[in-house]
Amino acid sequence: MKALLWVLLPMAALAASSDYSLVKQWGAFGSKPGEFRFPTMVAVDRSSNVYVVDQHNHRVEKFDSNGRFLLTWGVQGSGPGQFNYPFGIAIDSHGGVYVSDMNNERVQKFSPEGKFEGMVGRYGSGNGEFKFPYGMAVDSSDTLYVLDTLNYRVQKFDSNLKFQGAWGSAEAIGVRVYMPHELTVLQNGNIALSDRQNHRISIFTPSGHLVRRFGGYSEAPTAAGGDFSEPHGLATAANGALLVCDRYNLRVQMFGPASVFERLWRTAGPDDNSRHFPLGIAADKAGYIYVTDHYQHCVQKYGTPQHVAAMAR
Amino acid sequence: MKTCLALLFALAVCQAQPSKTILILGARPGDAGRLGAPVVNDYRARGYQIIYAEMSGPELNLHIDLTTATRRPQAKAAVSQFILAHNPEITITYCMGEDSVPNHTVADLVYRSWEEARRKGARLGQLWFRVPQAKTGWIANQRFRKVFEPVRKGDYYAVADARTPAPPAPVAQPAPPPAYHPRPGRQPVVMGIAAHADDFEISFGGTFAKLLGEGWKGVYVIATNNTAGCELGAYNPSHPGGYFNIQKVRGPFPSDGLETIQIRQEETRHAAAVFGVEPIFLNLNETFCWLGRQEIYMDNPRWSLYDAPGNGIVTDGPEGKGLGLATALMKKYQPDIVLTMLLGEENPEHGETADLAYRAFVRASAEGARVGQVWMALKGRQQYLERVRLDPDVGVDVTAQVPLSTRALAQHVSQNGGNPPIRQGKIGGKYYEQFVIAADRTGGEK
Repeated sequence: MKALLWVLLPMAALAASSDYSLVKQWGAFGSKPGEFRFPTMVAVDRSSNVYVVDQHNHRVEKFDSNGRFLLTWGVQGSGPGQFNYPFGIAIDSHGGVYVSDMNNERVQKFSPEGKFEGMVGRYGSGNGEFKFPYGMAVDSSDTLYVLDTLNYRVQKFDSNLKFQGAWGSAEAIGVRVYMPHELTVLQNGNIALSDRQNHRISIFTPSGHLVRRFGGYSEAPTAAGGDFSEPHGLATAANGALLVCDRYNLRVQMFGPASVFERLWRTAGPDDNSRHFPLGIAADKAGYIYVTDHYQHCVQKYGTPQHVAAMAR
Repeated sequence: MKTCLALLFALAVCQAQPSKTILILGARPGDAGRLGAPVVNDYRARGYQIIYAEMSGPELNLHIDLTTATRRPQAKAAVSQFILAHNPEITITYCMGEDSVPNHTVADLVYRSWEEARRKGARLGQLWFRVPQAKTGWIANQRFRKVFEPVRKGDYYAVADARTPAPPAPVAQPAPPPAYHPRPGRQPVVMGIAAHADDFEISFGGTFAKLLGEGWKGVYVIATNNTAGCELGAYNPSHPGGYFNIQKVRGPFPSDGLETIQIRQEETRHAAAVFGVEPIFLNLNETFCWLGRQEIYMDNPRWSLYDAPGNGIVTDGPEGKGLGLATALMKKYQPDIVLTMLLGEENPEHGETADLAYRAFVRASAEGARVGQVWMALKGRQQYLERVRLDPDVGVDVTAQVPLSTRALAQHVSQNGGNPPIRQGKIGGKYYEQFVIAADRTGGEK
């Protein structure tokens, strides 16, 4: 019986595997336009332009959906429009681009062309202050949610970066969430948060009430769908699916409504977790999925066979 | 029968003896020759085989940055295996405390590897450190030099000897209580300089708390930026503060350099707040960080690519930015007492932080700052090397400060799960922190 389980379990995992495949990859290590040094998060605007936080170059790079370089902004520093190891990125309904300027303890807002429009934050625990802002997301009414990681809370801002509220603490954000990393707004307005060191995802209402948690720990080539080894980047696809970068399993997982596991696929790269790290994730309105690989210094674009066929036409 | 037994006995004695070999271990090509120069001709004439080896040579094949050697198990394994293979009567290397950080680290590495080889059954004689010629480096400090003098044999210090019993470990005794001589007319200042977040509390948290309790101003300094040292999820869930991980999954889940810096600096701010002060970070880079589950040392090209924020490397020694930063702090605060770590600790960042504090103190004094004394925390390393004993000059009774110091230490949750044991040594029912006074400007160099 046990032996049968050993056979069936990997098969179950494989059966749930996806038909998503790599359709495009761009970027390499460097500081020239279109290159990256340890990219973190990625976001896609309504025109399917792709914005990438190029963390160790202290800048943002913008591409079209095929990876054609469009523009970049930012240098290392602490002045307006400058960055010090930025991490997260989110885009509102008007194309406003928010970047969590992690080691400057602030969030900055830019136009789609990279023009500085405002900022909020400094080190601290008060309203509008941060202890290392990581992931960010914007809801349908352009409320910005910022994961204030070492304050163990989520802060909310309007599109002018005016403080709107906060929820969470080391205990209350979800009972000992450890090193929360990224969040996304789900189609129903709830907030999904990657509770990284607990290897699970937590879902909250916009006001911070815990709805549910899901996920178990497993790290193996045959790890079942719904198990994680350090979930990092999160995104919500146009069809409402929740996408999760599952770091040490080197894969992406997709969940449907009520957090039901749907599919997974291994991201492209070596079988070496010091050289392959799917970190950031975003989806465009056509259903393509973009993944930043922090250690391969690139963006990978994934699509279904229909996407592949459409691209071939 | 008797003859047979005698032959067997003679054979056993012979097998227990080291081979007539002098093994000379250097860091760079040519160094081994210089290290052995005073004695090799004599020993060669007496029929000894002389073996020279360099760390990066074909014999040891250690292509690493030698300043990291003592924390890399493969280095110790390679050197101890090499010693084990030759059973040398005399092993010669540099002296700990030389001005060159790699030379110092190789001496430390060879010492530890030699001990490892002995534990594994090597037939060894003595380990010699070549007495350094230069009058720089901490070995030139009289307080440290004098502890090596009892084992001096001409141009060498015989720091270990496998053929005679090691001296008994000293019975722990409290050293005399400190006789402070703070400069009159101002609030006295104590400056603690530790290598990593949590070393401050482990090394001298009680003494720092005690002086603050007596009205001193406290300056809390951490030298490195802590790019390594968080293995999240690796702690015992039964610890109230260590229950990070709901899944009860054990590590290793090392966090990347940037995150580790953030976590450990935040913990340090909480720890310093227990003493009522704010920390100062010199932000010197550690010699390694993690990418995924791989340790990336500074000699790996990927370490430079990662480019963690920092002010140079802590093991840069006098050439690094750290000396200027620490000297500026000494000039600004003019501390009556500098508390720091012990020169020559196995963890190179600990030893180099002590070296940095010592050099900064000397430089600041030479440039006119009115500084007092440098106290180096022994943390139980009274038997410094097998034949080199380093007795404390000052013993501070910190019994009353242990709860506060331990509470500060508990803030380093990523290191101890928020529930650390008491780190101070107990002697006769009281807790002590013991120090060597490495420099004294209140009335002359010690």
